[in-house]
Amino acid sequence: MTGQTSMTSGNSRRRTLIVSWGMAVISLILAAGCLVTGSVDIPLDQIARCLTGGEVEREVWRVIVLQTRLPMTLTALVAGAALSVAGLLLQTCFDNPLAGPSILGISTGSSLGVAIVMLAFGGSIGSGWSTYGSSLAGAIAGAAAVLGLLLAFSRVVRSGMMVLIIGILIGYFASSAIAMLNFFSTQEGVHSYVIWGLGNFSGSSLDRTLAFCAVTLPVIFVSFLLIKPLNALLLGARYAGSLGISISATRRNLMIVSGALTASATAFCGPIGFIGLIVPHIARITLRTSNHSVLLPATALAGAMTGLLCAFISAMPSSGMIPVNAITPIIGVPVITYIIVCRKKLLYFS
Amino acid sequence: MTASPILQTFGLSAGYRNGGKETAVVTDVSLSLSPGSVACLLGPNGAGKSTLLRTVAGQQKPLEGTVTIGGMDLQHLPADRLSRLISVVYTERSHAGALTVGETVSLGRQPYTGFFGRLDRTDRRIVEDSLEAVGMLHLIHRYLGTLSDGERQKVMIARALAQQTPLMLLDEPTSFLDVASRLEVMALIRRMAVEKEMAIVLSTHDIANALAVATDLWLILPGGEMMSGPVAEVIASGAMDRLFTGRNIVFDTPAGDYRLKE
Repeated sequence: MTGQTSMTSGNSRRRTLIVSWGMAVISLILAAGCLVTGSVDIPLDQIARCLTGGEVEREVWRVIVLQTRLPMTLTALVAGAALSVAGLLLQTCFDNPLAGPSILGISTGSSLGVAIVMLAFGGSIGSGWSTYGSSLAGAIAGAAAVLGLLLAFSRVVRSGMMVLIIGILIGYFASSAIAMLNFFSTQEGVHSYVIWGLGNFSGSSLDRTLAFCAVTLPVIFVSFLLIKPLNALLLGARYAGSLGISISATRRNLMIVSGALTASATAFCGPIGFIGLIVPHIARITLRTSNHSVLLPATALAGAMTGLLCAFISAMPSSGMIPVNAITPIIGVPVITYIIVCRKKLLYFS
Repeated sequence: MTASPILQTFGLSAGYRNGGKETAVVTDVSLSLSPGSVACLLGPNGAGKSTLLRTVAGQQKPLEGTVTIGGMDLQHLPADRLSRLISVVYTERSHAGALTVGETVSLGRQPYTGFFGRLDRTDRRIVEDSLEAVGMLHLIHRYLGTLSDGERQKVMIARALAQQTPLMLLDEPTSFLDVASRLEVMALIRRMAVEKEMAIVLSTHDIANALAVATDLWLILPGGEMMSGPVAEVIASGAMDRLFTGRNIVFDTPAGDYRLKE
């Protein structure tokens, strides 16, 4: 978590260190929690042996840990980080603290893309790589379509709040198209789509999860290449332009990266709400900075932590999994309400 | 002030393109400004001061004519070159409240820093010097969001200073400021021009204070015609009274400000 200049005080550097380490430790604890929690009780030492490839008392434990719990943990970590980074990029890009992949309709656009693949082409029958691959293609096409629309509208409609409302409307439009597709599809297709649509970190095998990580992690790192123009954008588009930044190229890059992150996470886990909206705020409030050289890595870390928290809660009942989208609003709504009510006290709003 | 001009315009028309339609706010403007000079851009609301400044800053294409800086046509300069030649200060508030004063001024070094925007020792010294110049060095670790409007504006000027450009453009830098901050900012502009040999253009409605620091006046007269020259010449020409044609005010030369007609 380097990158802070001497232009920040010792105090704020200390804060950055403490908060980052705190988040890392909490993430580790939650990751461990995800591995030990579930409907089957497995002794701790046996879980450790599963992970290290040692001898296990019962072979089924190995399957549970390696094919269910480990994929869920990895998925939650990477998807949480991806959606949060996407949210931060969108908030800076649109200069709007309430922007996020789900509120701008990008997640729903991705969902529509997946729905077309799953329902219209019957892609749900495929397995392994092909399902994620075709869902991903659909999700990317959907996200790109919504981002293209948003970009076009944001040129005409200058107000950030109005762009946000247009995003919400695009989301409704895509939802309606999804409902139509569901109506005209086979029952099995609808069933698998509905399950996917509830949001799920645990639907996949280890192989497919590793494929998801291999696609998503590089894109998160690509976002780190945008730190300099992101910081320039904090001053507003006109100042950024006077600093030698190409505004149109920067906006385009930010949309491509945030769209790719949203599409990848949505294709794999279903549309997950709130994480992309609230996590950048959690990072800004705890670190007290808008400087992306600190904020961007911290948002990725906080996103991983939040994803793991949701996964942990979802795995707690012994009778099954709570859908992730039943949990994210319980965390997200209080946070976003606090932000709206207390925005006058928050530095980054002024 | 015998140095060759740093900024020149030739037959410049500035305005808007909307669809295929062009609306000029100023036409056929020939301006020039030398290092060490402060030009004060005056005109009624909606006369096109901001449009002209944006065009001179290279952020908007001229409808006709050219703007040159150091003899080079702005149209042919890439954005990164331009950012080392022209810095700007706007009135609009940004959402950068959670940046520290030091971080904000550091953004002015972006034209010089590498891919990740890291500062080297020279950059840090320039940031500190710029803050020193505006009298804000003691606030280097404060958050922008905790500053008063006047302090914030001075930080934005320090940010422009850190860009180390021969030309600085300020669009109404003193609106929203209290009288003390207004005087301080104007004095600062004067000092930057003299000490750093910068050419400075500021648009303002604060005519009395602006006249105290200006060497040149640029007037946008009704009809998009421009009148420019050294302060004394422009005032002597009587152009100040044409600036607000049809309004019930006259320019009081001894007082250096407008007053109502009796």
